[in-house]
Amino acid sequence: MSITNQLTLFVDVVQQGSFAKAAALHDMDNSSLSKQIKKLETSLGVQLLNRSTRSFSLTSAGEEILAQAHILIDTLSDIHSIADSYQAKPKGILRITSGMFFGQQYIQPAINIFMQKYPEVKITLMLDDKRNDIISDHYDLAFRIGKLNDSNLMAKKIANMHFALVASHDFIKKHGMPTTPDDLLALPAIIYGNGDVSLDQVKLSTEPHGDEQKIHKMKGNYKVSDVRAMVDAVKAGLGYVMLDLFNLEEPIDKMGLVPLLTNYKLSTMGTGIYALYPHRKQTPLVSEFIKTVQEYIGTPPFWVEHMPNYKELYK
Amino acid sequence: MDKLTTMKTFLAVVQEGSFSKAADKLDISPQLVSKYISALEDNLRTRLLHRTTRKVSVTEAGNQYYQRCQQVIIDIEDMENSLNNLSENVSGVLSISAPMSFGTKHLAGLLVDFQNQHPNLKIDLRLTDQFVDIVEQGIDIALRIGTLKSSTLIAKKVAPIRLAIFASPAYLKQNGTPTTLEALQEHNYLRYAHAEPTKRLKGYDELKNELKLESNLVANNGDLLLNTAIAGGGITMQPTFIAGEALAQGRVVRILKDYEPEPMGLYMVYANRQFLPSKVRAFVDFTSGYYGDVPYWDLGE
Repeated sequence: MSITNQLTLFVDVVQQGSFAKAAALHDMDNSSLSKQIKKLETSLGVQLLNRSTRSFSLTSAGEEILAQAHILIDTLSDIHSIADSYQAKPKGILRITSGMFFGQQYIQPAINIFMQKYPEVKITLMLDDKRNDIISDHYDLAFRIGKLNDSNLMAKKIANMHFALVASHDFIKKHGMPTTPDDLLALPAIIYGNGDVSLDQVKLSTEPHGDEQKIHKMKGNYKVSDVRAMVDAVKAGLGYVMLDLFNLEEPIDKMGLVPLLTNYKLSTMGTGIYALYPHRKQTPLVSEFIKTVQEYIGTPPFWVEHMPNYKELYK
Repeated sequence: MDKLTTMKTFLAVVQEGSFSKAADKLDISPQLVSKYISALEDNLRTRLLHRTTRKVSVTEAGNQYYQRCQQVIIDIEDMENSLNNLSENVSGVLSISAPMSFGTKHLAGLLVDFQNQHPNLKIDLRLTDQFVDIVEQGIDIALRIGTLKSSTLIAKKVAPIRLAIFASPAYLKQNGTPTTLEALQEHNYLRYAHAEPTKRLKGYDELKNELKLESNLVANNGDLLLNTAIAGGGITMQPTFIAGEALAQGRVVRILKDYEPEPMGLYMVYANRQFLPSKVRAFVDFTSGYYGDVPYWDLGE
């Protein structure tokens, strides 16, 4: 293995904080990774890491070499980006991450379109509702839903949010149709939560079509870390839910669902759907892929049609 | 101040890694969490946690206290469970971890049926294909596919898991149908990113050094790979609980049957305790036999 590859492994071990995680990132086993780090140490003639049974720390030589290795890897990555930007057709490997449901429902069809157009491109897609670290996990592109907070990354908004409150017909038959926020909050909610976030807050106007808004906490017996399982539970009548229309696979009447409190203003609390990528990954491959996703979902996105007349609701 | 409450709060902070997440878990305010921890530290005259602006970590003393504390709380829970078991009252929060694709495809129905039987029980369902440490993360029951290593946990089989190799009829018409593993190398192999099951293929061991399966798509989600195969993107090996429906509809066909791996199992895994919490026992009883020896997703053929 070349010294640049070994240095890359060294940087990843430090960034990931574990040999096992760095090995997984490079699709290699623990022992061969550890062997490469030892080889690197032997060829440089200094120890880079102090190892104990449970963890490791950098030696002072390791710290200095780490800083230079970062510069080297950034330069290499720039060289690849320059080479890629001279390709007439996008080619190369694209590492993408996205939330589970969004990836299955909207990124996958875009991948099918993209790969037919560019058969030489290879894609690795990692779906996870917990947010991966884009830089240290080497992603070229991430699709994120929520508030933007990572200023180290380039961001392109690909769609606005379209929140709605829904429940099944059976649920409404059993509990009655809520007509005020207080009515609603007395009912059991199904809550999306995955350890990182718990979406148990709803911001509604205090009066129908009012300007004053208040944040309420929803209560329920079922908390789930997956959108599809959440929607299934709503269909089965376990509770009402606040969701975004992109969570719906088909029109709500086909799913046996009805919208609730449509005459109240419902805040999307500054969230949106974004494509994020590191500065140095501004390649034709990345921008072409974002364009393919954008064209597939449309503007406004096609899922807004899943709730008839949505434009006039929740205002 | 109630010592037990402060101990439980300390456990939650260590498990969740932050005051605010612990507060969420316990449904109290972060200020109260902080107050309990300070009270506990004052009482013990020892620093248990290092606080920095971004996260908390455990001191050496805190780590020792944590281990013993966990045991004490388990003992107390056991004691209460032994009484609860008599009353058959199932309530509280049951946290379940399950594999992503199995969870979304086949668990929703079971949970709805289960919760209809036990309306006072709250369920916290976490779907992930990552390995979770159930003790560390405070999970009551984990559903896992494969074979099991840890001996301190109890594993109970829920359903057989069969893997098979699939492609769409249109793809095979265009690219030909491989009948040997060597021939599979000529195709685009849609590859699963975690613990790739290729090595379970029959005949793989004799070939492993020569066999090189090319893929232009690697993903950590079986549903997505299957859908790509349905769209004609290549060949993929998937469990029948993912592919069964598409197979029954004729959207994919099973190929290379002679090379299919030995069946695996889906297991419920939970802590080995003298007195199982009644909520766990209720779920274990309910789930055993729910899918049967030949689960419905394998009936299509």
